[in-house]
Amino acid sequence: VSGRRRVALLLLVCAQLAVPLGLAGLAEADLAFGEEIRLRTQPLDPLDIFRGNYVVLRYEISSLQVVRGVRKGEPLCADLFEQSSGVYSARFAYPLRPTEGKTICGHARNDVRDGGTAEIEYGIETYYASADRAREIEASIARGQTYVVIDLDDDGSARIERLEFDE
Amino acid sequence: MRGRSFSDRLARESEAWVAEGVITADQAVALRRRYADEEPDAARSRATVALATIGAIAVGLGVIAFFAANWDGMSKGLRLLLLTAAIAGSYAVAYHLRERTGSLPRVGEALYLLGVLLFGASLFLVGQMYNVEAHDPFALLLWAIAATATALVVRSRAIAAVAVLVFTGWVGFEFGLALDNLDDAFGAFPVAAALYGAALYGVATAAQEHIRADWFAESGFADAGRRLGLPLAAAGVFVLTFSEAADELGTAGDQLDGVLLAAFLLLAALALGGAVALALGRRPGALPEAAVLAAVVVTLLVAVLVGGSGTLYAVVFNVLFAVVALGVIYVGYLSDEPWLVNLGVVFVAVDLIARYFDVFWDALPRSIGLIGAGLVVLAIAYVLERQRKRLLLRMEA
Repeated sequence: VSGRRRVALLLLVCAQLAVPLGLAGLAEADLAFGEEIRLRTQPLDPLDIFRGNYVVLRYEISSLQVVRGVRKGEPLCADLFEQSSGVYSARFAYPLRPTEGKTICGHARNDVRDGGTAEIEYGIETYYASADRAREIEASIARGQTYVVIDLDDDGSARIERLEFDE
Repeated sequence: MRGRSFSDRLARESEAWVAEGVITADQAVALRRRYADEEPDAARSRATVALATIGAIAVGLGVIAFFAANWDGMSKGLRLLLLTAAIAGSYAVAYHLRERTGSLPRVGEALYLLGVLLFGASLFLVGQMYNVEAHDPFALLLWAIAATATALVVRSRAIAAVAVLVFTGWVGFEFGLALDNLDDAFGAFPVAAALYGAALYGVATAAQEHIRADWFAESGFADAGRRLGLPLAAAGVFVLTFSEAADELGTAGDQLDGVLLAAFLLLAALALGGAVALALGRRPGALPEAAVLAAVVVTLLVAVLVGGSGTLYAVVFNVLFAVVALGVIYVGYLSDEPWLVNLGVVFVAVDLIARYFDVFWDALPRSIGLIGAGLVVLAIAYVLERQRKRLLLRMEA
């Protein structure tokens, strides 16, 4: 093997190691620096062909009234307020991010007219679990209220930290 | 002819050399004896490659299953450590076996393949670990880029095939998501598949024809592109031979705009570019091959962008599919490529069976229909096997 090919292979392997580590590092940074809040949720349980078992989560804020009409795929931000101790909810979603208060942003799943109700996807709708853990989650869901603890960033993006159960 | 054994060719050629007085009969026998022992080695080598590749794929699947089964028993750090160690380990052992010592080159290549598969798995497993809801197809694109680079650096045809396969997966996933997001546009998916397959086959065949560099010929990219592109293009056209599918084209085409429309046009342009490059080359049967390719692309574009009667398009695509199937056999015969002949025979068989069910299934009682179908399949198998063997023997002669 020529020296150049050996170096190319070494760089290639390093890059292939760096990509998963880099993705994990970015995710860890989001979790470390985001603000932790809780959202009420109602899970479902399908099967992802790529990633094994996961739970699909639906939130109170997944369906909100919009002041101005939006097209499917356009950004929408929910103005969060504290409903009870550490648990947040929202009433309205806006195409532009409000400058004050806590905000979580996502995208409209459907076309909506002024004053209509939009289905919103925030990127926190799936929680992955092994088959055993998925069964435990199902049992806990059946026994009481489920909350998702998310880390909210300044730009309105969010990442799931963990599930909590109020049994 | 590609695929024919070296000793067979040597036997035939040496007889001709003796007849022409180039060598004596004794020398011909000596030459045949000299290479007679190589055939079992070649067979063993192919078996080793097949076994090593199957082993690599099995280990890759096993690693994914292991992580899925033991997910909650491991910390995130341990999962990451095991994943990266598995990737680095397979590349290191592969390098040792294939490049450093050269003791087990085929097993080494299979371990390179394992490294590529584990890299792809790691992208999805890390996504799962952090509940990432990113744009899923992007992981396939990253994987395809890594596989392409690895195939070029380690010069592996198996990894080149995986790269083409994963890239195709990425294209399909992107089109699938984009069409699914529209209200009623999924009917355009077979068009996307056919255009992509035609582009892949056309560009790969033209590249094989025009890029003469050794590294490109050895890389296996053109070969993989042709062998994947052709069935994909044919499958897309085949779906549209049914009037129910062709009926959807007009509605689906009305919704294509922006980036999605540009993607359809880009694929069509690539396929037409491939057809032009093919026509300018010296490949036997290049002109009819390029003409059929161009006809398929133009018909697909007209069907999806202009729309019209689904029944009429179904008839047109039936004719096109028959032309493609017979054309593939013809071009395979001219260009001395048995895989094309075999694939063309499969297309003809599939078409005949589909047409039988399409036309007679509802019209006949179920039992008579089944008996008829069985007889049709047997007749097709009999005729095609005879014709295929005859054709392959003529190609050898």
